[in-house]
Amino acid sequence: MVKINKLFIENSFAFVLLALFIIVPLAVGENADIHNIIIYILIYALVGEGWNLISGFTGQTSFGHAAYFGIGAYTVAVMGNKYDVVPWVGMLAGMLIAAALAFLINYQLFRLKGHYFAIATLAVSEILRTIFSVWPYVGGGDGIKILFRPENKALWLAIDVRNRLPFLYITLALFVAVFVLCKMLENSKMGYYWKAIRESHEVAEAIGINPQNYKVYAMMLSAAIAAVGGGLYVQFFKYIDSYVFSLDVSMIFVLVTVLGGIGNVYGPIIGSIIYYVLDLAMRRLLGGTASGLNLIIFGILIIVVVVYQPKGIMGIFDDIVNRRRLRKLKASQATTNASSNQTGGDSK
Amino acid sequence: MLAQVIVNGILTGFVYSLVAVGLTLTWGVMDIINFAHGDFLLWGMYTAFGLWSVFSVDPIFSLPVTIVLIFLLGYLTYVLIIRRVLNASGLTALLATFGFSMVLKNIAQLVFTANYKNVTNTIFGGDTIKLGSIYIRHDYLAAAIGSLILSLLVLLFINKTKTGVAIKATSINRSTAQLMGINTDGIFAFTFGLSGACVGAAASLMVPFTPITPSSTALYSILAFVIVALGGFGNIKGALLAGLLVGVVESVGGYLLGTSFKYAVIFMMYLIVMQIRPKGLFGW
Repeated sequence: MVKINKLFIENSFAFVLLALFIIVPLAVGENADIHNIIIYILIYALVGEGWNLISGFTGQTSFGHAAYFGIGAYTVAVMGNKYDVVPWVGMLAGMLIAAALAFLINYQLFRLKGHYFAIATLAVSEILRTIFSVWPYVGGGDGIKILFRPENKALWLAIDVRNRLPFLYITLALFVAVFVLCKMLENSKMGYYWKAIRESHEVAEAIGINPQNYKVYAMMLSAAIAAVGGGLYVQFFKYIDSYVFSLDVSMIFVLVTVLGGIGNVYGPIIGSIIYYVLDLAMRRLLGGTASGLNLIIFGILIIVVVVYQPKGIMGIFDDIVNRRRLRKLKASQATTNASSNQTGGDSK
Repeated sequence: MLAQVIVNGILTGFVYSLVAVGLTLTWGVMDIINFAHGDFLLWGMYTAFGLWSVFSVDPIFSLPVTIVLIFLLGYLTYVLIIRRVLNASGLTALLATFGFSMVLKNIAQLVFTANYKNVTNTIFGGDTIKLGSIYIRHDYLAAAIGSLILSLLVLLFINKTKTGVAIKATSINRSTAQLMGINTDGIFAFTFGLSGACVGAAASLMVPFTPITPSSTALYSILAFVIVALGGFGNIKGALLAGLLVGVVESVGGYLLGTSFKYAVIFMMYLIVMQIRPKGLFGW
């Protein structure tokens, strides 16, 4: 019982968030717009958690996570449409294919460091984009439209236009699973190895970590998580084409994670919430998206947030917590000083 | 026919080089990935278009104007945004420039709409020179020669002038440069401006044969990223030669495999070259 209490107290922020994600969709009623936004928030935060593993914890910036996101999406779409495979199995297959691809590509690519690696990941997703735009098996330039299957609705994975809640909660459950996995990984031996590699490749090597292998593990896990996000995305959006491999899509994962706080498990979800709430607010305030005025103000807001707090939104929380700790520390020091002064005075 | 394709590749390659030289200045010297680089190009092109359509100034004469204006844009970007995130992690600055890119692109769309704009009837026009079996368009040739001259000027500037050497020193070690009495803040601002000037020049040289729309420069910025990495970060000569290589590979690849594969060929080449030279063709 004490242990459970401790779990709640240490992760109170996570539980508050979870409670909000459970309650808000119910509280807004049949509001499709808000349900959509929440689903987007969760999908992009989920992929952001994956991106965070390789780029935040391990320090290898990837500008090509759209590659694995797209592979996951296409796997679910192709298997579902051509072979009547249920999305759950499709997602599992997508995870495996994405992880295998991540292994094949990155085992060689991890020879590159820093920006050279980042551009290589971009190159990989752009190559996939070209292949998928001409490959007839995956629909070529026309893309794939997901066929509606009533049995998927029973599996809670087909989105129902009138009731998005089951799909929303499935997405939430998968996000929570990924979040818990990342949180556990952060404090595992593997997590410490990753951080060692991030801080210094050479030092990590010197203390007996094989950076190549651990970077590949991180990338494979990260790719598998991105593929889950892709699978959810295609079930939700019901259509996919090669645009999913573009830099624009990769940048969303970078954006939400860095906005929230890179290298922090709360980063992607906080960033994703801020990103989409601002986006929605701008659209509501300024009307349609045709003028682009909402995107201008949105861009300015991103700049302001980044300039004000370079560590992301989580940096602001950290500042508050640190300041409080510092005050407590000062208060306790003041009392000990006072008592030591007293004893000092006595001895004189 | 292949000779024609290679010549076309070389001509486009020179323009790619100039855009990439601009990017390598900020990326190499300051370690800042400027996502708004393509949007600088966009604004350069719209400036040239505006001067052409309102005052009927030929793009070749608006060249100095776009150079100065985009220099100022780069300078202001540094002073207003980059300076504040300089000491944060690299991805923070990236995010700031990404936001700025959104702002620039959407203001362009608000002002000029998403319709394609074309600059026509320029001095160099669409006439061609015939050399044996090869045809060379005047405007392509002018853009290539102009880009080459400007790229070489930047190279010369960096290597031969006092400010240029200060830029190099700052790129190698910022704190040591400071100790040597270099105003690194000023150098950074100037480098960002210079980067903009390169792009502004490229914009004026390109408009005679490039339709302008807010999304038309996204590809140039992705290619510039690849060229900069291929040449080695901060290596201006590298960017110049890699730009040429990318132009030729794109052109020949498109000719041999079909136009839909021409960019995939470039990215493939990047991945292969990097296996042999992990720090770029001319990196150290």
